[in-house]
Amino acid sequence: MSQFILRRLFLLGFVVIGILAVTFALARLIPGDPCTAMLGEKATIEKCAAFNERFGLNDSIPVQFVRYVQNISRGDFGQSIKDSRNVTDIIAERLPMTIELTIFATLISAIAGVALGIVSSTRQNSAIDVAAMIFANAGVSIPIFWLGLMLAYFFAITLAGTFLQLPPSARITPGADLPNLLKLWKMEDATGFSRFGTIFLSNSYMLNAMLQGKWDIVWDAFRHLILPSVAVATVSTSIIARMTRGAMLDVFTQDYVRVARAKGLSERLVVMRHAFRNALVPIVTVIGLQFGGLLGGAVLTETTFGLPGIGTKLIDAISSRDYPVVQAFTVVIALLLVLVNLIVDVSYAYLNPRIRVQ
Amino acid sequence: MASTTLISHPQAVQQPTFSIQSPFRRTMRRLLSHRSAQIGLVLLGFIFLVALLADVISPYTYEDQIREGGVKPRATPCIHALGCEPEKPQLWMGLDSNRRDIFSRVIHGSRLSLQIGFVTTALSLIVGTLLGAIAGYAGEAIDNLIMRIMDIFQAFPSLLLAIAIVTVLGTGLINTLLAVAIVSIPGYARIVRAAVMSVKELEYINASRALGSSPLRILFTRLLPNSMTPVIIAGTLGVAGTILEAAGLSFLGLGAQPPLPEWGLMLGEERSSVFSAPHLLVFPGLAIVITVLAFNLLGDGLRDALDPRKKA
Repeated sequence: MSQFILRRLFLLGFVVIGILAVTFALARLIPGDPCTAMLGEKATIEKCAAFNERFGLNDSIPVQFVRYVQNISRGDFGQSIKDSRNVTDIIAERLPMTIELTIFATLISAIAGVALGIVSSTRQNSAIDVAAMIFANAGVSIPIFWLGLMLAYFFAITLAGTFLQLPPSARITPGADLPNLLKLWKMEDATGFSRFGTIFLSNSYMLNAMLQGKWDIVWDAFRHLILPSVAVATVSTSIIARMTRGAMLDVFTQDYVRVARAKGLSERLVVMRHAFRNALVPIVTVIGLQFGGLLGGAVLTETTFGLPGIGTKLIDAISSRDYPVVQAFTVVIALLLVLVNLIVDVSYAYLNPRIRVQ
Repeated sequence: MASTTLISHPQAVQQPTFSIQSPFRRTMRRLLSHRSAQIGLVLLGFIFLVALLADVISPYTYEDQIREGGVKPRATPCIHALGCEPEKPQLWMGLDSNRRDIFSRVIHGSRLSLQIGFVTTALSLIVGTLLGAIAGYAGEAIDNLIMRIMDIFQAFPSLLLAIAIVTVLGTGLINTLLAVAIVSIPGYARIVRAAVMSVKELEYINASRALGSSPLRILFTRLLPNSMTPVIIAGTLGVAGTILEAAGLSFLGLGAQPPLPEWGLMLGEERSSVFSAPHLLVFPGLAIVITVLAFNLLGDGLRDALDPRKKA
């Protein structure tokens, strides 16, 4: 097992270097020289010379790349051009929203998808099965940004006044009293990881509110998360449901399931202990594979619901040509995805011993 | 089931009904008897017809601003048969914020979406197939090089990588097509590589090599044609995926630019009207759902029809 993890980590190193190379190259491929691209109309010859000197753009490409890798490994993503702030601070502010959304969507899609898949497979070709598979087909065909808009209208306008009414935008009700931890703990001057961690925690609204014991705000933040999470989760729920159904149906044909039934075990025990456990490997794999799609979906859904996460900032940065922010966000999300894929790999090597020796 | 029939009725072997048909006809027969493929084909036929006859069906062009009958921007649908006053112009889906007829725009949008789907998929399919075939056939170092590069591309969430590429290329429909195409290449390369690697071991490849065929000839006339099944399935499902992805980029304002009637763009332009005039958003979204669903259903049907393990 440890050998398997070591080998995965070794391969991971190459992928990480590849990611950094791609993002580095993307920034260099932007048409025009970086100075005019970034400073726009303000770029004069003197200013550009100073700019190139300051960012080391006169050095050779390999030297620049090494410096780029060094900076990132220190957690230094440079400065935003638009508002001259540290990009690392912006990441710490924006990432929690996107992660909250992705985690909730993962939970929803894993639970709903597996449940739907099991129910369909145990009642193959019944009305429930057909309905679930129609849902699964529709689910992968709906643009989630549109679904988000429709959900927002339905739950905020059509159901207004009922107990099912849900907020269609923002993270918490405007005006809710949730102090910034950086100020609360008087850490405005902190640097390095403690600064990043505090900003990150402060913007993980649910955790922040829990820390401060404000349970009404935890509930409020949770209610705000429901619609976006459901929208993001739809595609994955469908894929997981189909995969679970297929894997279960495969396992049902195995001899040990017939033996379990022949022994007179209850159907519930046969399904959950004998069939489901053995169907778990492909299911876990597909749940893990959804993470990238969920992150991408989060980017779209944030725009739909006006949520201040990575996605909305990214679009904002693209339109204001704030390339350091675009570059940093791309790196961070790709690294996050690589990390999750590693966890998935290790977890299914744990579930299925055959994978370890391959 | 089949084996018991054989044992109890040996004469059944005398009637090999399935071997009379060519593989193509057998596949077509399976496809046409497949429920989701039927629905998918009907929907696709409908969408193609709409796209083909867009100028005939739609009462206005996608840019016309309608002022007759005193209609206001964001007017709700007005259908004469349902009791709308006859002096007002007939508006099946209402007007958008710029007084344009949504019905005409949705109809014209079908052309754009089909073009986006096919062009993008074709582009990534060709490049992906070539890369995958070379990797699978050459093996060793070349295989490793190509596939590790593919790994790196797949390390990014596809939408995010597409956004990053659009940032470099600049916004616009063509650049979006390119970005979505680049992002989909690794998937096809992987599929083709796996197929080529399994076909490569078969005896007729050895036979071909013994006859003195050049590697290129083997690749293009033996390996690729026999590895096409998964590619056809992935390509059909891929059209659905690229239409969705391109619509997403247009929704974010990075893809098609106004006044093009791209469905994703129409949703993006009017997304702030969701609470005041939801009818502006319902129809373009439904159009995307129907189109994407059609390709997904056909893809599912193809997968079942082309799978030799499933007997029709």
